[in-house]
Amino acid sequence: MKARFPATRRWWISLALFSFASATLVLFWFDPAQHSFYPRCLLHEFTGLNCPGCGALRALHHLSHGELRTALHFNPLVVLAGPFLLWWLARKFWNTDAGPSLPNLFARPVVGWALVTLVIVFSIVRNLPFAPFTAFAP
Amino acid sequence: MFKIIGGDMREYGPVTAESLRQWIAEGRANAQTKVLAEGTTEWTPLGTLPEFASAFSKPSAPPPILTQPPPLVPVAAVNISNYLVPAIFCTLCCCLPTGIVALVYAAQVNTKLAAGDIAGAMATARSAQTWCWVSVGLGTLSCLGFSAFNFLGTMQGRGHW
Repeated sequence: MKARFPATRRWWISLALFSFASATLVLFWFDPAQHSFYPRCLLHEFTGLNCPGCGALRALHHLSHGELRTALHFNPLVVLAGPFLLWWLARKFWNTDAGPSLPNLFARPVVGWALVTLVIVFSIVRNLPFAPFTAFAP
Repeated sequence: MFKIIGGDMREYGPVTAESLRQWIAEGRANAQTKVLAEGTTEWTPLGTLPEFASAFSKPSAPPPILTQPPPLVPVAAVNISNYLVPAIFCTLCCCLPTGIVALVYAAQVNTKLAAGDIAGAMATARSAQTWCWVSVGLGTLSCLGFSAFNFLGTMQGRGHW
């Protein structure tokens, strides 16, 4: 029987799964709000601005504990991007000649520009210092 | 061996130089047809390759009236990765400003593809790729930098990521 994936691809899949598992375990056990060994955002450190990625680690920490609401508070974009990232990875690895052909969600021009707009609006909104926008700050 | 982009914006090949000359003679490819020679990464107009110059000047061949060559047997559709997802990933996880640059380039790839501008889309996809790697590089550097600061104990306080 022919192997489903070529050797290099299997190697990459193993590496990705291993990194994903170890990152999940570290995030599960160590709350980024309590431990200072996590890397910090340069932009926030120097300007105090919240970038669209701010709160991502804390969001993932709470997500790994199943606290979806808290995770969404810290960074809704990262939480919502998760399923799409998984879809993209699945497409990348399974869309071989033999495998199923998953449709490409990101091919239409409007999707690209919608994402650009979303990220820019989100970055502005979470830096506004008054209600109701303060809810978007991590 | 050569690959070409047909008038239907699909990729055909790889075929031998002989078959490609045949296609030129049949008017299915012309001097403006984008071609990728095996071993190269640059799509160039067929007219710029010296080995096909004779094929265009052959008087016996019917004149290539068609600026849009009719579809050949499809081999594979042009598959240009638009880097939208890596760009989003970089924006959220690595480094904001360069991530946004990558994201804007990635969004342009789709627009150019939809307009049929294959070469432009490929160039923009390369820019998106470059900016993704710049983001990853800067992100990694800043992480390492802060880890060093943490290690030296000059910085206190909780993480903010």
